[in-house]
Amino acid sequence: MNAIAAPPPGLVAQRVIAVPWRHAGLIALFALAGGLASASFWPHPVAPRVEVVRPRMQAIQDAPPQGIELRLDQEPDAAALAVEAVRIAAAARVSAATLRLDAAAADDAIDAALREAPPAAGRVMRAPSAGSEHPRASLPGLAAGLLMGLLVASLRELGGQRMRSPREAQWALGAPVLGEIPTLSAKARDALIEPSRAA
Amino acid sequence: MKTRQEALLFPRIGRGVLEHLERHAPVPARPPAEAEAALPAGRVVLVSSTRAGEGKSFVAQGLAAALAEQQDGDVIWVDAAFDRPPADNDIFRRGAAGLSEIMTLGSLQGLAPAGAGPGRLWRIGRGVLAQPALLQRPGAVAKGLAALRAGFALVVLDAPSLEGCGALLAQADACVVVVDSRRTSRGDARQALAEARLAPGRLAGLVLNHRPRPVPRWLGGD
Repeated sequence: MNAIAAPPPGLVAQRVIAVPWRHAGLIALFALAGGLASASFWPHPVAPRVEVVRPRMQAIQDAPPQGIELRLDQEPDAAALAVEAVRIAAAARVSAATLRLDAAAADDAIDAALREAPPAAGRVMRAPSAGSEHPRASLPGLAAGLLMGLLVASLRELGGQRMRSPREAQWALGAPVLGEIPTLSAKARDALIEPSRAA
Repeated sequence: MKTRQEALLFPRIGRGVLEHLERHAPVPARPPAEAEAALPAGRVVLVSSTRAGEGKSFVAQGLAAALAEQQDGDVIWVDAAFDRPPADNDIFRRGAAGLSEIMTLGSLQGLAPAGAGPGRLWRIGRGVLAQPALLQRPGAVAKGLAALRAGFALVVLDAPSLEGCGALLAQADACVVVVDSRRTSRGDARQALAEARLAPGRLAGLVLNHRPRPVPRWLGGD
């Protein structure tokens, strides 16, 4: 038995490359699970915010005309709040409410709500959208799942002492590799060892 | 249905074994008169593994079929795996004579190897006297292999794992070791090969079974 020499150049690189190549499904599964978990555990807090808006809209209704301004642009989830605020204002025929919807300017739902029931004499201030300040809830989980998947795949591929390629087997055991057989179904195995009928 | 790549698996292994035999155990050139005599000129290829269940029977059967198509002489596949019970679908399962009887009697007379195809491939089972201890007796092993060498150009032995091969290792002309890439570690395989003490030139090579999805060449793979 020959002494085992140092790993040939490229063997380590080959194994590193094999991590995403061989375990793409596993990594994708982890990312998907992370994204779903993230979206489930950290949903957009729409409902509680809407409840915050209602009393404030009530204050607008009770106030003298042109007295109160409700700034939704500083609220998280301004788009959802704005829709609700527009509806409440329309229903109450608030004439002096000023809704500032800067952060929610591009929301189609607001446009639809305004078309259906514009505040009677209200002034809706729109500003160019600056984009959402809060990333979608699934993105952090997606990224974490991706990293976790890469970690698990790396452990599976790089950990242990299994020989996963002919080059590695030849290096480890010091003997040539005559052949390599993939994992086959029973049917494929039977077909392979069946003597050729052409002989 | 074989894919083209799968169809080439065993022919490749067979070519490697034949090249190894040409280098390390060539058929001796004999005068024509002597060549007529039934001298034990056949060569023995042993298929083993570092541990049980790595796919050596599958490799041995495929290799025997490939060798039967790649050279002119008759090839026989022999079940020498005395360390495990025969498979349920083994046609030699029920009391038929086989290798163990040849090792005991030293002759193929009275035995009828089964033709395993239209070519020059034959099969013979382990026989009713098969015991793991029989493989540890050099005299019996030599007797059995001599009888097989006399009758066949190539003998492919479906052997036990390396630690159970006993005298087969010393008397085979080439040894093919099957390694399961999912189960066998480098350390275990090295240790098994070291303990087997194969003579230089006897190890024809390795067959990597259950190879994972290969990395393509353009990404730096084999």
